[in-house]
Amino acid sequence: MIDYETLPPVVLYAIPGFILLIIAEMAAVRFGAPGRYETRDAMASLFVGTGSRLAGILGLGAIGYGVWTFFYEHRLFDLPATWWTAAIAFIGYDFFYYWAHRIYHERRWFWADHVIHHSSQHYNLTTALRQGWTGNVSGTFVFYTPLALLGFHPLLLAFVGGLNLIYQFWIHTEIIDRMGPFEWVFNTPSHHRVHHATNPEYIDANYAGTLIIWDRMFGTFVPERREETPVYGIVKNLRSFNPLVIAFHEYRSILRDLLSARSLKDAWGFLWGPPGWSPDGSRMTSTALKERWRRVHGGEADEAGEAALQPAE
Amino acid sequence: MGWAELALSALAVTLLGVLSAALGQWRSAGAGVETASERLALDEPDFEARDWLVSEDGRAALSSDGAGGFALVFALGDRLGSRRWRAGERAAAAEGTELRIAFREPGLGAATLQATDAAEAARWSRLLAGDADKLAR
Repeated sequence: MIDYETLPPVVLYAIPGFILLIIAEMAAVRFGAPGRYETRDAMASLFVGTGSRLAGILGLGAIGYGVWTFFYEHRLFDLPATWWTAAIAFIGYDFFYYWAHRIYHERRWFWADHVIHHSSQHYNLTTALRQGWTGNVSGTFVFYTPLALLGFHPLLLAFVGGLNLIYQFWIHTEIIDRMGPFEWVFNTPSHHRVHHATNPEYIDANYAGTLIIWDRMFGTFVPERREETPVYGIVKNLRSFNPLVIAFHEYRSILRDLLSARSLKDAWGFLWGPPGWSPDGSRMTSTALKERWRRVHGGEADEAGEAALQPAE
Repeated sequence: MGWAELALSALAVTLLGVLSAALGQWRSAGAGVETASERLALDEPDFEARDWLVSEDGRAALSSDGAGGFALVFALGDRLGSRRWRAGERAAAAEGTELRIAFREPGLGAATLQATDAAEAARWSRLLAGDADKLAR
């Protein structure tokens, strides 16, 4: 039996490990291992990560926890407090993480928080800690409410959510290449490099947290190809290392767009449309970026990129 | 924990930054014609650069496609980013050898390029304003 009240704050406990691994990667890269660090980029990522902890300290986590508790109080089943229940909760959380993460990329309101994580043009362990500050305000917790409704205790959900986050830390590296059969089932550095890349062949792919099987099942899996080196960042890269700019730039863009909206339909599109949506189509969504890439590269796309592009459609 | 955790985190970040700098990882990219072209090939594959203004400080390069299209490639740390727009869509002003282009994006701000001389800065300012007659030198 598990006493949910005694489950540890695993993310907090993992922080010293994060720091040690970052130091190890930083030194390994310096002495020739694959990957790259840039001091100001790494510091920006780490300060943004610190800011995301500030959101928790200010008590914003209580919003999501309160919603989960409400659903848990109206639960459909009384699940036993066992490690089997915890294991099922972990897999269930990972399933809903896949869908939540996919929607973060497909809807601008959620992208405004998640873009923070993608805003570095580097891919190393510090990038893993470049996390959004506003998830509890923008409502990202709603995606996990079905688990609470099914009868998984909110404290257990917070615990497995922490484990899920910790798992994703180590996959933010270029040091580890491919991992053999492990790649079939689990999310790996190779799979996640694709997710962070802005290459049109790689955009909108590999949303998995722990298990890559969700991408394979729902058609969003794209393998990393040796001839297509990932280019990291976002479609419109920032020109700032300021954590406040990184944390809030997309919200400011949304506000500016809303103020310029000429109809409710336009306002809705700016808020809930895909990133890059505009009333006149003058901006580029990920679909438009892929179409342009196909148009420009023509036959090359058909021969080399078709396999990579197809599953992400 | 709370605020103590936050203070410790900030201290750890600072120490990691010092370590990274000591390892020689404080780097800066240059935006020359070659590197800027490579970046545009990735970000804007259908943009055909015809004319360039490379900032004297090497931190930005402005390109025209000769048909009213512009692209700016800028450096951030050791990486490059870019923006593309049409003539007249961004306010631009030349002051001496400085060409200043205003972007209304929260993550970008204004870009300042150093031209070789005031006439060059003024020429690009006119181009950016959308004066098609002045597309040729």
